[in-house]
Amino acid sequence: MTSPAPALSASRVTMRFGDFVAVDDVSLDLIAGERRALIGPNGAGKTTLFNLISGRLEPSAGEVRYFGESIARLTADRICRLGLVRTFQITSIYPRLTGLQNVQAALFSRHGHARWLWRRAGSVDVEEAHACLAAVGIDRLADETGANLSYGDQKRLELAIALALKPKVLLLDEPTAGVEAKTRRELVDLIKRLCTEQSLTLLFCEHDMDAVFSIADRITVLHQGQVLAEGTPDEIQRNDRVRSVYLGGGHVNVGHDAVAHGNGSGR
Amino acid sequence: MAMRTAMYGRCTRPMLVRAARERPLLDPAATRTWTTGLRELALLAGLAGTLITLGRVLPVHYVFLGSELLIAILFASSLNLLMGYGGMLSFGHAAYYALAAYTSGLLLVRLSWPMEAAMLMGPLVAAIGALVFGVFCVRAARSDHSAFLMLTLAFSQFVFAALYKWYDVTRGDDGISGIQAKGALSDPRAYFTFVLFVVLGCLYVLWRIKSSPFGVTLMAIRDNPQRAEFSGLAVRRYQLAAFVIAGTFAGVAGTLYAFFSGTISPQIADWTASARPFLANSMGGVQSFWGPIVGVLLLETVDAQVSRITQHSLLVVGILSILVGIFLPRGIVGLGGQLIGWWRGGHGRTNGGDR
Repeated sequence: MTSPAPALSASRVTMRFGDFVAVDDVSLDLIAGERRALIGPNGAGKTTLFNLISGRLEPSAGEVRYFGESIARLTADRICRLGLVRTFQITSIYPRLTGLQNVQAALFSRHGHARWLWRRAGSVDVEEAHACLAAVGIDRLADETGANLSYGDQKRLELAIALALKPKVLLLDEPTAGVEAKTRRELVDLIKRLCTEQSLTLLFCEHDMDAVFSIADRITVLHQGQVLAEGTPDEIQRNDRVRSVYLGGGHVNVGHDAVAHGNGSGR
Repeated sequence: MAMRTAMYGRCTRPMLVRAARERPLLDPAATRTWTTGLRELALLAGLAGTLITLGRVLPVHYVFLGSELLIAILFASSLNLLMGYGGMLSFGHAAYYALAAYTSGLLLVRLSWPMEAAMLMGPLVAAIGALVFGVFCVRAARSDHSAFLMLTLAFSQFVFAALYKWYDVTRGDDGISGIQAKGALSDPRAYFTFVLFVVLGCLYVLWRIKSSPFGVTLMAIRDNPQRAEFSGLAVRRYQLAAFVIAGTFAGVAGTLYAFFSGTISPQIADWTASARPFLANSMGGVQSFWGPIVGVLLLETVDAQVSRITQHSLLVVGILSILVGIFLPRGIVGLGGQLIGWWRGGHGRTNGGDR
């Protein structure tokens, strides 16, 4: 092998819960700088695969490598410190801390300041925390309590937390789920901009096809725990097997798909 | 706006006014500039001066009462680090109080150690005890809160049983007596002053810890341990650190108590002894640094007044804590914060909802 190791590589990863096989012999390679979408119907194993990669679960079989280094048996906090950072499907922030403190907590962790007992938190890593908030466009909410933010702003805040951890590889679990269309478009633009600015490698799952096709330069389709197809957005749209199981036959065209779902509910 | 700033005296730079107003009240982590540090020190010094003067002029009965309250305040505030900041409901905090009290007492009375060394060893042994027990408790905290609560209770009952049964060392139910402070501290007024300085010093250290990056990290773990873990934090290690710090300060309170009381018995490790700081926190308001202080003052006042009338003062305390639990989930201090927020809201635009 002469080419550099992939940023993230899962090889033949399997996860069993009793008799149920949630992730079945999945292999996946992300080269550095790539933006990969992971799609598939509910229950396809997307979140389980995320949990396997991020250290929340240990695979029953198979190997996960991060820049060539095996991470399948590391704990979640150590994987994060290597620069593999994830967000959660249900937004995961610190509800009783302010926006600023939410980001500071991540910075304290990364800089090893979390052990400081005597300095005032209000004077440690403040500039950097504001910069992270500004990068996702919510610096004005620095003093607002996390729980008081709108859901869209909480999504942004979680992104700011992730940025504060200086990821090399970023895993986003449904980054635009549960927000209205306008906020969704803003989030999509934000994610694209952040990936470019910070040269991130991105792996994300998403149900919204507009978001998927707008962000991803490659797509992996999971179905019943297995990789059904992998390729560029164009290839995936043309793939017959993907059409039949996921994109709902006929409605391969992104626009049509959106219309079909939005039917009657106003746009 | 400038006038209001001056009234609250929170900060002088107009740029910060908005931030200061929107920040949760009474939250130590919210303070930011070094001037607030000076202000705190000045406040503490003023408070200490007043109390020292009181210690000299008050009838000796009140001097005893003062020492007792200060010790109870330190005990409850140490638990607040776990309950309020760490989100870990410990129902066995008296174990560390008792470990320290017995260590100091036994070293002084039975091994004739010098007073200073006996005093220092108390909190040290409490810290070691908290470290050993804490490893197991924190491990349980990961799965669920009640497991943590039960384990802390179990360990404290273990300490209680050991003190009670190990007669050769602890004298069992007879307890240890003759724990007398020597020299200058033998006078109750002088001992009150000593307690005052130690307790205020410890409260200041606790305040700093709670306002530190460690304090914010602890609150983050309380709010969302999963997010903390996936932010690179070894969650259990921080929880254990908080457990040991809390146990150590409970130990300081225990040692102060041993020399204050002169006599100690296993009852100081019993679960009812753990319930007192627990109740003080939940009544005063666990979210706030001042909660346990207000809680102790309230609890002790009620206890003292009611026990004049009836033997069943615990019943009254129980009913009171149920009422607070139902109607004031954020405790007395939480209510105070809410009222201040209301009042401020009436004088301008409201900010930040129910804070």
